Amino acid sequence: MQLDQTHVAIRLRTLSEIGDLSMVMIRRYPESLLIGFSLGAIAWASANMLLLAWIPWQESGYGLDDASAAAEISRYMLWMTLLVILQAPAAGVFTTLYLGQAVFEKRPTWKSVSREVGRQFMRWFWVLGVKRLAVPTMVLLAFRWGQPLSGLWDIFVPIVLLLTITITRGSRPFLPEILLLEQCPLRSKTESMITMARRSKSLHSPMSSELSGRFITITLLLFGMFGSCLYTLIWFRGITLGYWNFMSLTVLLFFFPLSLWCVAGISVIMRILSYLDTRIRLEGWEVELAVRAEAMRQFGTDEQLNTTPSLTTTRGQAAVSKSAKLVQASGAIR
Amino acid sequence: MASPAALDTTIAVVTPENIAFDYQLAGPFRRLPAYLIDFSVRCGVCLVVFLGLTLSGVLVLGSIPGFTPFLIASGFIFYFCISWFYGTLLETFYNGRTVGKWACGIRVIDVEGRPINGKRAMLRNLLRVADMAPLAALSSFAPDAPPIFLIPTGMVGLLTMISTRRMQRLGDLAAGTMVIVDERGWKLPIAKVDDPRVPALASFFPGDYRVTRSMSRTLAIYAERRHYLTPARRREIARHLAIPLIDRFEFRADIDPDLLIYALYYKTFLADASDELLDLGPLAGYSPLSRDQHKPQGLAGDLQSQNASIMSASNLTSASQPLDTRPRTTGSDFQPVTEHQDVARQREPFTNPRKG
Repeated sequence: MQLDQTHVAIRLRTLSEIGDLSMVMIRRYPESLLIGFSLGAIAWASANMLLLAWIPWQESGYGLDDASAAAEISRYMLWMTLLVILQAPAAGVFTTLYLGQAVFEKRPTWKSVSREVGRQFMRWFWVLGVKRLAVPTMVLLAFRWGQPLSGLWDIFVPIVLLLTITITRGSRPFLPEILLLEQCPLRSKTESMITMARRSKSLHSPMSSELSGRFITITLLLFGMFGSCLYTLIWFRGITLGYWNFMSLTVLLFFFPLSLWCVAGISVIMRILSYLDTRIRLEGWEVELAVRAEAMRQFGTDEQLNTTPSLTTTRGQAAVSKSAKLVQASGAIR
Repeated sequence: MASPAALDTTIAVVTPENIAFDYQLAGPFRRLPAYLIDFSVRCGVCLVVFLGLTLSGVLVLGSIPGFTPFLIASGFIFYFCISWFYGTLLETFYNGRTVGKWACGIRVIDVEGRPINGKRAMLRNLLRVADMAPLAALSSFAPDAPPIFLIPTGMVGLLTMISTRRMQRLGDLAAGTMVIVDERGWKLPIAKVDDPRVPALASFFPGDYRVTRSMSRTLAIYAERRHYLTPARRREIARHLAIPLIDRFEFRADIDPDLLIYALYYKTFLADASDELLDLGPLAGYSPLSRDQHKPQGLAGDLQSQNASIMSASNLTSASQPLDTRPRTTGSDFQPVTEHQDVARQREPFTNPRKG
């Protein structure tokens, strides 16, 4: 395999090109992305239903059109949106690993992807599920099950959570890729070991302002896509069944979460493409692939390195010096 | 950098004259800002005309009986015309561009790579309303609002663009057009070599060594992008090729990989083949070859000692030239050349500062 013969063209891209390329990827891998994201999301979506579906269900008994129902429905929508945002990186582990392999292989197998997801389960569940607040929020909602609307718990807490995840995700968007594709260890006693935190700092810090700007832009675009998706579903039901009411259980329990998850799936694709672009900009990844491929063509070997093409870094590699340590971590595509 | 069939937003078009072009397609994310700009322009023009008509109607012609309804009707007709024919006219007469497309650097061409004509422009613009479907009515979300379908979701256009190879919306499919990024023409910039060590080192490659086409492409990619990388990262990338080259041409093992690859680039692209008597200046006394490593002061010890003072000054300059002129988009990774590295370069101009 030639390292520079990738299945996704590796070059510098603008944000709009990244968005367009994500559409191309959806066209190229429609079933795979659908299956992959569904595999990852179905457990989270089911849990969300268990935690939140009681709100519209209970309100529908009294009618969904009155003012008190509107407050409860807003509460349901806010929490559902927040949960999907929180869970999207964890739900996208299959997709992330699949697309990571798809850069080099035409059709990665689900067997290898599933094996990798299982092997790294504790790592990604801890970081993406627990530390990134998806599971704690679900626990909070479990305790709030059946409780009436509260200003503190249903307005203040979600806003604080939203601000928190905007800051953390905006400044460290590529944690899933570092965790799943580069496979940096979570912690280490050795100072020279490139841990996830060190790697995250080296990748995100130099481009923090640009990454935050991109995060906000993508979020706004995805919010627009979510609105389009939701209304399209309502419209489709309207022209087929003649029922146009927005406030119905079908919309709230099915269309609304489905639209959110559709957009979450697209966000995972855009994120991994942004990650590749960041590595190209910051670390000259495309140059390294070209140089390594040329070394293999010219001399039949890639000195000092194994020749397995992937996005992962070697665990525990010792850096040459302190200044080179983080750079080496970021650049090693081994 | 990628296999011929690699996933990308480009498409190859062979014109009827049998000339092949690679176009970069503009997909929904590239076209959305252009659409929003065009929408703003249309609204702005309508607003200006509406205000003009109103003012003229009130101030000048208000006394004429029945003129106000005429003005209102004129306003609606103008709105209709600009909404439906703004894109058609501009794309026809401005080589596939509207104001928004011009601002975003995209334009419409037909699928064979030729400029579009009026018929195609009209067809694709008339079908825009279908691409914007389904249109959301305000009354869907607020029961008291009037049932006016105002909010375009664009889902039909988006799905069509996703499912077509050329990222065409319905209007493009019907008219046989596509939207491309309007490249002004590009070529790889030839890197300017300021470092005097580079030609000096390049002169040590055997004269009969000719790089392959793929190698020269790789060297060009490396030289183009190295200025954006940290010195440490450059060395890390370059050593993949440098280590076998060092073995083959018997260079010293501690030679700077980045410098070696850059020198090979210089030899391949910039060095004049007839320029055999290259004046190396104060670097003439140094040798990067391993067989000269243990000779005192390199190849020409006396010469070098004579030029020692010159070398110190020149290497200080040369060391900072290529490394510090790159754009500083920096953070923790972009470390400047350390004092230790500068001292090392004064001692051994071609060696890797880390090892030296």
